Amino acid sequence: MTSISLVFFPGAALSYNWQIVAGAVSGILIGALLVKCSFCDRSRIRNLLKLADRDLVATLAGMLFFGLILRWAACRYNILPENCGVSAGRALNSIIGGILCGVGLYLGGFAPLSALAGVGNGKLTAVWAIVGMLIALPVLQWCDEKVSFNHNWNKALPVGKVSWDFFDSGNPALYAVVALAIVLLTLALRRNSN
Amino acid sequence: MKIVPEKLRFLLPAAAFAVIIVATLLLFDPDPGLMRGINTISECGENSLKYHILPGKVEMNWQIATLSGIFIGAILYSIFSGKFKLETTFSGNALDFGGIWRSALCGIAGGFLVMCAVMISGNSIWGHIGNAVQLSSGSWIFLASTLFAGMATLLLFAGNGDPGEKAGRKTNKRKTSTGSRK
Repeated sequence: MTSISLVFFPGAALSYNWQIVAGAVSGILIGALLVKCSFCDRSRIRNLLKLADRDLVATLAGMLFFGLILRWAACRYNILPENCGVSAGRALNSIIGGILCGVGLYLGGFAPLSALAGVGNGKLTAVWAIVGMLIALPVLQWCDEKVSFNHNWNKALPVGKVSWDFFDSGNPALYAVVALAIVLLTLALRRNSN
Repeated sequence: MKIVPEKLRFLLPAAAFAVIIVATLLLFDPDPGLMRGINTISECGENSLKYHILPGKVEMNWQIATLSGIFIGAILYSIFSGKFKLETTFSGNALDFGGIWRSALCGIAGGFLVMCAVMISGNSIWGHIGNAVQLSSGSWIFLASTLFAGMATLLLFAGNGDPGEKAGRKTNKRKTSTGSRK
């Protein structure tokens, strides 16, 4: 099959004005989908965290699954390069960020994008979440100036030059994902049996 | 006649999200997160507060356009589908606090923590999903930690039943007993 070769990263596929248009169109689609799937509904987000909302869990899992497949296909036919240009994540930052995010989602029920969509959906409670987000930015910058960590105890995680490095036996993220999948499956089976 | 069976209705939105993520990788950036756009808007607001001036012109880029599009898309879909509903408080249970001020507290605290998480981890949840599709280990760890932490928080506060649900049940029992006496 003929491979489609395009120049990309960053944004070389479109000119500046067309990027704005494409960004707006994708934003409109994302906003509509977020409202349709009820990602800006706090009670359903809580049910998602409990794995009680089958539809939301399936949508999130499906998003990741189809995304992986599409990206693999795009790399296979040279539409996208295999070198992902994503910067290396750091384990401790990811864990701490994840914990804070989980607690924040439980309390407020909104992420940055779903808060925007929530305001559009008439949920004025999302405005409070946006206020909290805007307060956080300068507070964190202030903390960053006052507190400094000198010792390097947070090493960068490996970023695979080829996607298959993710499946290397030395990659801790692989085991985290497998453990997560087992836990989710067990919980789902328990819920179905109950 | 329904094309997609009820059980598989999650397929279309999931596929649509996946297509948008991969299209973003193709058209814009390897990092599909919108942090730069959020930072730009925040800096604009911060400067206007700091220097007591009106917010200046924001340099338009695809991220700002996407954020604007999300707001517009949500409004349009809500209006045309009839899902638009003004909500000023979270629907209450004992922990959720019914009043406006309590809802504000929960909302601000939640938003604050989520933004802290975004700044510490380096990307928004949408960005982490986009990076997870590219098999970024950090993003997978972030998503897993989010799920576990959310679950743990729920178990910690709700335990064997939401306190609000328990309170609701007690209220219903009282009402029923009052009704039966009559």
